[in-house]
Amino acid sequence: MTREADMGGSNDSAETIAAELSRRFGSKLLGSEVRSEKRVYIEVAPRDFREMALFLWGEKKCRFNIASGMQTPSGFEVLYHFSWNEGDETGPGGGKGVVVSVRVRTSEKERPVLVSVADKIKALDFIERELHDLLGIEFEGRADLKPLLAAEDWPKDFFPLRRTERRAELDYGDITR
Amino acid sequence: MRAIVPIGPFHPLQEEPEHFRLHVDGETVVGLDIEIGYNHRGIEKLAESRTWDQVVFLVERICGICSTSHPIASVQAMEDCGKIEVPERALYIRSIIGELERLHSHLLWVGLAGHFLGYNTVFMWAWRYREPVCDLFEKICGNRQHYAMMKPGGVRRDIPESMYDEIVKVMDDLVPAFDLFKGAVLDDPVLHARLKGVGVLTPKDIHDYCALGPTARASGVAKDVRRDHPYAAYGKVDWNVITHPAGDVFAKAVVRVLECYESAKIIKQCVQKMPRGPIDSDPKQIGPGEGIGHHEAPRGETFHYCRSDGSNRPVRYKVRAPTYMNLPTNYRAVIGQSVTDATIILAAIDPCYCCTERVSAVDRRTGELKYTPKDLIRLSREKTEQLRREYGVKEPVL
Amino acid sequence: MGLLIKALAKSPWVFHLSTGSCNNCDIEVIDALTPRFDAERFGAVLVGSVRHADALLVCGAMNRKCVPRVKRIWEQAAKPCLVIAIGSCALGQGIFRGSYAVGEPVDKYLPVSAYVPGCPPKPEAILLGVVKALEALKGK
Repeated sequence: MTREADMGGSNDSAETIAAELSRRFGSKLLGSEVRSEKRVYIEVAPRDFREMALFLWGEKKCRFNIASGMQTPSGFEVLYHFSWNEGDETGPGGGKGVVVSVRVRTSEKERPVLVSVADKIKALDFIERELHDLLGIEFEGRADLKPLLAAEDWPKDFFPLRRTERRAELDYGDITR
Repeated sequence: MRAIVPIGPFHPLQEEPEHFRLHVDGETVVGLDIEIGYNHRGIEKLAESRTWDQVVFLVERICGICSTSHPIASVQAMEDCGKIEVPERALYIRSIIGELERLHSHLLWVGLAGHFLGYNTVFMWAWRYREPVCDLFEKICGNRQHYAMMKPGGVRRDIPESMYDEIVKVMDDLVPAFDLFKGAVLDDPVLHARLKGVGVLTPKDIHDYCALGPTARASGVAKDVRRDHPYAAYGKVDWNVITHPAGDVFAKAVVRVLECYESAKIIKQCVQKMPRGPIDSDPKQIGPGEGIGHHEAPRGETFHYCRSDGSNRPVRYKVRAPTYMNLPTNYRAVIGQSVTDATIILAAIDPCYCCTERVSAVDRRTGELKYTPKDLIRLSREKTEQLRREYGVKEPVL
Repeated sequence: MGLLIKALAKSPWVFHLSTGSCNNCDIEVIDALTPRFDAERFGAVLVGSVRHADALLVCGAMNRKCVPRVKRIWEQAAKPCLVIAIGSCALGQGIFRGSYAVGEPVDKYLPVSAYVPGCPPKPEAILLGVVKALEALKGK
């Protein structure tokens, strides 16, 4: 079995990755932290996320892992996790993969809106729909946010992962008999 | 007459929502709806009201077949968050358990594929060869499934040295079984005709959907978390990342069978190299911070993220199973293909078992139910039968 | 009725239903049919339609989306039909109890004759559960 030429993979360390992002994005990079040799956390404003995502996935051939969203006391935040540096040639034990996590924050407390990138990065389709189902985050720039996990009979304003969601039980009428 | 073993519930009710609804025009699939809410159990929300130890037990039950892959990713996320060290012996034990799981999962898949394609003896034999692996689990962990082996800081149970020979013997005994499947199945001209060129995913498709695991490696995309982001003992033993350039269902089958050999190799080396010593660094808390843990599960990368405020419960816990990324590749793989191949294409990414049982096909124009899940499996098996007649071969008896 | 029960108990046709779970119980049910455990020596055969079933093996934590489906399947089953709840999730929703995404346990919707605990129960335990339920039926 032959290995095809890998897509990407550059052996960059976490430090060089952070430095490159800083050079490329300048003041659009609101924060940058190298937490370990495998973990880089950066932050951009919602309006700059699309550019960042397309740079990481499109130019740098990173693999998008998943996005983790949560409600915070000041609004909402979503962390988009990308894997940089995969498929390098150094063999077992030599892998230098780094997870670059991009934080996007909004201070909107009721109807948070972020920018969709699912038209270009198909891998984002499911998670944008899930973030909408579970946290009520809207994504502008996409045609529909069809429910992914929500059952048809969830109340319209039921976003289970919101901490402000007080309901432990949903009223399902006569579901038991 | 013995009933065909159907996998899962079938019901010809049209209004029954399915995991996969195919839209067909004649015999060609022209559209696909994917619905995944049926298995949603609210695990991330539950995790916020569980202690860190309890979370590991909770995530184990996300998936039965990839049972330990979630705990491995989970404890690594917690260790990343709290900067917790893990003793070396525990790292080897994690790899052993992880690879044993890969073996039983890939064998299970080979069996299911055999069932969908009309190779019932393959199904029976693949599942029979799973049993020694399940027995090993029962001896090491106390349970055939849901092994409860992982904890932040190490593992819960040791593998006694008295078991080393037995583990090596089980691996050695399995290699002829892998040869059996490799030979009888993969050298079968009917299977070549059946699976080659079917459900192809190009490297660009893999990149667009960020697909992973054997699904990606079968399109020549050499990504494997064990090598790219080394963890546990994977960086300390010798093994190969298996890829295949074709991107079709045949390639996915080849990758999985060949990975079985690699897993047996890894397990044997781990048993031989494993140092003596503690198996648990016994951390007392997960300090405040964020952590990410990932593991190459049989289906691809499991990815966990946690946030801690220093208390005994996570503030936020995110789980991403590999099938979540691989499922949408079906928009590429199955559209344009024949409905007779639909079942095996959908099964080729090795989705959650219950997803494969809930496929139906509706007529594109009328919206009427055309094929139930049972029909689709029957069509698939009939196609194999027809090819066997053409090639003048019978179903292989193993 | 006596003859029906005797026939049912002799060769039970079982229909397997999953209601949202990790699938381990489902795998162990299928495992019970493989040569090692061989449910067929008890005459148990897995059927593809609930209309032919003498016994319903229910696994899973009763995800809310599945509840109407479970009720519909029960309505279609020809009675008498035994319901056997398999695994901790079917018994009491197991580790998922309290989640917003699951309803009530199976026995709030269907009359369960036997409970097979375990996470997952071993194939031997599942077979024992089916056999015991049938024995109890014969004894009636």
